[in-house]
Amino acid sequence: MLTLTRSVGETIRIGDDIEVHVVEVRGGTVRLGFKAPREVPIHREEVYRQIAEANLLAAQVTADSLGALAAFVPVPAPAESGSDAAADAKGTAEQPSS
Amino acid sequence: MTAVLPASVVVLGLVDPLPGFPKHRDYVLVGADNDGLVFWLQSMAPDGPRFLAVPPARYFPDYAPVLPGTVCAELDLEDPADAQLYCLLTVPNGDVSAATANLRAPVVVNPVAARARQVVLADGTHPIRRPLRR
Repeated sequence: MLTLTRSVGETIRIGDDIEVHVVEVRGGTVRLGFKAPREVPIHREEVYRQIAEANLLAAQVTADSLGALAAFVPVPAPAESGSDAAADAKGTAEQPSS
Repeated sequence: MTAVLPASVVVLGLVDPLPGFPKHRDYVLVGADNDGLVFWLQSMAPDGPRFLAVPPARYFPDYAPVLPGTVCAELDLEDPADAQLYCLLTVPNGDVSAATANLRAPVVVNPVAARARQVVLADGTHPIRRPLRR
């Protein structure tokens, strides 16, 4: 692993279009700012690990669960909910959180 | 009804594997009930994983995730409204009353292009384990 020493206000550049700025260092905590193309997802490592763990747990499901799940599914939808799945997707751009 | 499936089963290609399952990209999404309320997301590989998935709008009407703008391009979605969302269920120890849905990382599907990906939302207020039970 490459290790670099940087001070507050300094920047690391990765490739042509990714910048990592050292915004603040206080105690054992460092605040970083990122400039990257929108197609580059930026997440805290813990988030990905949590999603992976959740997926691994989710994959332990058995067909036995299915019948019992019926008690928790919503009642059949009224007519106007026909586009509900589509209505979820706003498709609005968002900035990755730091 | 939501999530109308074609008569023949379509193989969904994940543009990125699900976190935790890096070797699997090809899945099928098949209805697990007759009402389009529960689905199996099943890997094509014989030893691959399978998941129960639900269309979140039917369970969580207040759920309105903001998808990253890049997802449309990745999935060849011309209109974000064409996307279908599925949230993976976890049934801890087979206890259905404790079942939860992952709202933080919905699987976003373009049914036309048969492409999908699990999108980790930047908005941390969407829970990874939201109880299905209301």
